[in-house]
Amino acid sequence: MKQTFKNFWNSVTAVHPSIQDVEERGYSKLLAMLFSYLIPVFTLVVLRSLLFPTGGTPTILAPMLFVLMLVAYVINHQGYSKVSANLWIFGTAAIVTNEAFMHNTSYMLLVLFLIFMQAVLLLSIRSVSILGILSLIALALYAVTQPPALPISPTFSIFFFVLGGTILIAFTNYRAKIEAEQRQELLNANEALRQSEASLEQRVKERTRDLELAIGVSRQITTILDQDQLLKAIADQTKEAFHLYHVSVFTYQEKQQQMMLAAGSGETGEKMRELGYDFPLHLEKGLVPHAGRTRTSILANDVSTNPTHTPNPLLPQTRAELAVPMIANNTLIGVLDLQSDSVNYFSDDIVRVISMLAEQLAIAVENATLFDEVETARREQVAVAEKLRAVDNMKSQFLASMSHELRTPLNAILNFTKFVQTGMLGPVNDKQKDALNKTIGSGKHLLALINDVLDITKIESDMLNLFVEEDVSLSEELESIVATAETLLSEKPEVKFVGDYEAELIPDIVCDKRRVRQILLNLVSNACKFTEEGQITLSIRIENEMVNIVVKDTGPGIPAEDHELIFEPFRQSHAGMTNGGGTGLGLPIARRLAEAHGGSLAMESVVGQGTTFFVTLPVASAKLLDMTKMGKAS
Amino acid sequence: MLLKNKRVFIVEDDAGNLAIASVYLRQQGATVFYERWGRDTPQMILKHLPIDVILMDLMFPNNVSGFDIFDQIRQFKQLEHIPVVAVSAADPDSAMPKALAKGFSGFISKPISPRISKHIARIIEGKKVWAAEDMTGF
Amino acid sequence: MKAAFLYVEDDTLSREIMQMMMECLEQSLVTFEDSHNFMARVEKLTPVPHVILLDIHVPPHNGFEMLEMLRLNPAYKECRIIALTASVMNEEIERLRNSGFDGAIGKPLDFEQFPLLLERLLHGDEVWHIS
Repeated sequence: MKQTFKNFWNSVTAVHPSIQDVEERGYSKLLAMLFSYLIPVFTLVVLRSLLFPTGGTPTILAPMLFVLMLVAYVINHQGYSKVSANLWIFGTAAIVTNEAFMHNTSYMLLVLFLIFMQAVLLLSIRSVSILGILSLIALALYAVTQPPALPISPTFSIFFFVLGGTILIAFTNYRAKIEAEQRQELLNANEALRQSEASLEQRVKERTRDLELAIGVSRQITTILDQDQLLKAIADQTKEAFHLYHVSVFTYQEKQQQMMLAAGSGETGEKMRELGYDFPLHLEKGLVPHAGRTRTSILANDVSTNPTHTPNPLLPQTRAELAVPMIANNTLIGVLDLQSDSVNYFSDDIVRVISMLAEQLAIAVENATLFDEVETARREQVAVAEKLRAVDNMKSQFLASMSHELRTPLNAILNFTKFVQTGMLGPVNDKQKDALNKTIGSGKHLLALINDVLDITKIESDMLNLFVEEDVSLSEELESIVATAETLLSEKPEVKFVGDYEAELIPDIVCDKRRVRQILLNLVSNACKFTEEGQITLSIRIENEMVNIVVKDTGPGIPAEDHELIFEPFRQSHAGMTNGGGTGLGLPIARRLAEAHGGSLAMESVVGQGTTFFVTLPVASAKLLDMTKMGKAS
Repeated sequence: MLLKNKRVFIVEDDAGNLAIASVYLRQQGATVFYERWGRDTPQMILKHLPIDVILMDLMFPNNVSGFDIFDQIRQFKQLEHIPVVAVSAADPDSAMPKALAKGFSGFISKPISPRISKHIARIIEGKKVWAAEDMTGF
Repeated sequence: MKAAFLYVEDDTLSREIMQMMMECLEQSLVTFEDSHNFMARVEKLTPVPHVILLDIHVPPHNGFEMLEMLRLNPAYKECRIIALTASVMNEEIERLRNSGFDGAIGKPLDFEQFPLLLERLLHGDEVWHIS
């Protein structure tokens, strides 16, 4: 109910939306309220006079006023508040002047007075003045045209005019003054606005310039990857760009929790660095450690009033100081310390710009550090690679010269002994022959050792190179192997050697002839060495482009736990080596050689029954053929 | 007599090695000439033509290498066609490919055995012999 | 001075060489080719050897073990016990000194030096002759 009445009242006294001016809105609302009150009252008065006539001449004052009110209300409601106000005041004045005039002067004056009050409130000064003049003219006319039957004493009139006039004049003056003040205020506000706009423009310009400076510094600096250069450049360029007295760059050493002076602008900076201006992070005095600890910018625009500021004898003209932390990736890289010789130099804008710059600088410094680390790592890698290459070179040179140096004396040892032994240099008795045979035997053993040690060294260093030939006659090699076997078994009539293959069916293969001979000789001589009775079988089969060679003996066999051991270098037992004449390297080398060809060497053995070795070699491996095409064999 | 009437030229600086090789080759009927220092080799060989095969050590004093001497020999038209065999204690794995690439007709490892004559005979026949170790039946 | 020698060595040729050398020097030599039942066999020897030459790497008891066994037996207190070694490693030589050997001779044996070394041994000196 209350809400509905409120809504009704609001809609009735609503101001037309076209009125934007606050003052005018006020007036319009005032008018609307006035009419909203007066119209119902007058409606009641009119109804009363209609329903209960008092006799006498019916006055048309009330209805006319009523109609005028309605019209004025509607006009106001439409948004023409000034027109409405003027219409109401002048209309009312005109009607009253014509009507009540005739009947009651004091009533007329009173009403006129009320009208004037309203006019002062609702109309402009000009309108009020016009109304005043018109009213005076009307009064004057009335005074002249009407008989002096007015029950007004001249004193009253004068008193009324003077008092009324004074009040009205005072009122209008007051209003005029208010209006003038308002106009002045508007002018002032405009002026203030213009000034603040101007200063804002100025600030924007300055800020832009500072940003450009910062970008300039940043751009120059981010290309420098050498840390020392970078930090010095930061100090010098920041000082120049922002017209500062001095700039120092401190780096933060995490391990020692120390701030270290890394660079400073100008010669003073150099001097300070030489003296070593370092201090711990938790140092209480000083803006720099504080900035480092709190990771925010610390500003002292007037150092004489700042208790934590520590004056520096090398920088006597510092009046304002700003310490900005440089943070990248949440890590404190260091602190940028800026000093100006003017108090209050560091405005909010400058602090903001420099903080942004500090971020960039932090990243640049971090980049330089990372670059340094990467460079160092790379250089180390290169050095290591060089060293490895040098070591490899030394190794192959060593192998080559060792081979030569170790073999050369054996030529004389073996052959001259042989000469004597065969009686070439004079007759030798049996004992002498025997002794010389033993010498030659030991010499051959030594040669075998030298060869095997060199081979295993090459194999383990990945320096084994095969000398590959096409059309290697495997059957020829087998012939000489068989011959060797028979020589070895000449003292063991209980052991039979059987060649289980057909020579015509054995193809020529692509291989390193010498190495294949080495493999077969090793297997066959082992079999001959260790077999005391029974049979040694050498069989060859060709299958799937692979040559399968099997050397089977009826020797003592190899226990299961040694099956892998025998293929490992230097694993033959001391006894086995001494009296067996082996080197302990034959099998490991043989396996590697077979594998180097793209083949394999495997073994099966049962203690008490014997041992069987299985060799596979490709007949014509593409990889080996490639090696021949590279000019490795004829 | 594997090398009957064959003429062999040995280029070798060590007297012992020279003696050994000469003995074995002569045992098989070859006539052996030699030059010890590797300096005037082509001239010496020219003096003893015709030669069926040249045996060349690979290491000589004063940093002279058998490969250099080989080049010198091949400069001469009359010596172009004579097969040259390397006889060396050098590691066959590294020396044989080099010798092959150079144009040697074979490589025989030191220490040598009497079988050297067999290899030389084959080379004179025109075959290539890349025989590294050969102590079988020594 | 004629003396009795014992030589423990598993390499056949080395034993033969030693035998020939001792023959030349007119000394008496007994050789073992391994250290099976070592002390039992040693105790069977008469006379007690003046000098015992031990190859270090002999199965089943190596030179150090044989030395210990000999030293435990007072009968062999006067023996000169010498190691024969092909080792050139400083650690092994240190070990030989610290174990209580009366000396060591390096292999291969120097035919010219050897008689002089034996003389010194028989005089009671220690002999450390490693090439």
